Amino acid sequence: MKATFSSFDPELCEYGPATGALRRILHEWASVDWFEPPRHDSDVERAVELLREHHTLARSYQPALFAEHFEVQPSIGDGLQFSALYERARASAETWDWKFGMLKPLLHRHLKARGWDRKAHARSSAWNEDRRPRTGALFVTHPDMPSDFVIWNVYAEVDLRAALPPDHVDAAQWYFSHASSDLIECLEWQLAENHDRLDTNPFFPLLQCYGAGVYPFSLSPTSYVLHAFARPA
Amino acid sequence: MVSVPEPTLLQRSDLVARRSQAPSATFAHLGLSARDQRILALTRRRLDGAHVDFQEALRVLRASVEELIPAGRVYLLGATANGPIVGSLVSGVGIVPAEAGALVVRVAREGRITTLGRLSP
Repeated sequence: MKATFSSFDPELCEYGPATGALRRILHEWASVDWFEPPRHDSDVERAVELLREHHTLARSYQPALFAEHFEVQPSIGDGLQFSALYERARASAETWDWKFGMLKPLLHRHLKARGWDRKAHARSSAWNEDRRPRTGALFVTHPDMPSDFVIWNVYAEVDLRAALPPDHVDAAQWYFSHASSDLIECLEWQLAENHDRLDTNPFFPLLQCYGAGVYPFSLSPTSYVLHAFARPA
Repeated sequence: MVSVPEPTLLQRSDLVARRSQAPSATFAHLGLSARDQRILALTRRRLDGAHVDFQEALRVLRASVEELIPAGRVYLLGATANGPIVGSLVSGVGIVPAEAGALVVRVAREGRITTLGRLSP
């Protein structure tokens, strides 16, 4: 199951020196076959390395936020096991929230250090009642919004209800929504860097985990569980 | 009673209106995350019961998001015939203009919209 963008076309995305990297990020995202087993036996092992790379890179920017020692545990299972991880992550969110407590502050500090402001990149969006044309604009303004109101135009859609058993939809929707946020963080990081290399972007290896068919959860500051859906027997 | 005109959400969505939602609802019982509840509560406190236009409601919502979430931002989640839906990428909860004032809605990933109540009681 692939995600789509209704009003954004990655091929039309042009943002100066970062353009090549942005398109690579978007291509990686578009390649994700959501909630399917990894394509290759080696993908889980590769995802473990990617997650380590993500954490190590993130820590290199914010050592106080990210633990020096951490463990990454792969877990191959079915939708029930995925849902159980979702329940654990959701239940602990008030005390430990990987995405909002760690990754967003990481990005926030990076954007401030770089002096990057999305308002400087806004493009106006054509609009009519029924649909907007697909454009390469990552951020748009809108005639019904304040003139200084710049919002992201990259909203990934996927019909989880049509593709998954009803019992698994809530967990998948929660996961996909948080992963969509990772995509935005990855793009903003790269825009702030404003170059074509991805080796300094800590969010890109995280997106590559999804591309490998592996779904990381962080249940404490020092541990990650990487869920991969088992192939049907 | 909240009145919601029939929307067109980029030709994909149907509206599931909860027209019996009490205007003074706090949203706490609607299954919203603690984060969304905090953002909406702060937005309401800042509005202080005033009936403002949608542009002002957006400004106040954005200020609440940016205060409570590092690197917080709002997204264009879709649209109805009355205008854009702007809100959270993670939860799909956002606001949309309506004749009676801004409404709080939830947009599912496949585009289905559920109206949760009024932003300003």
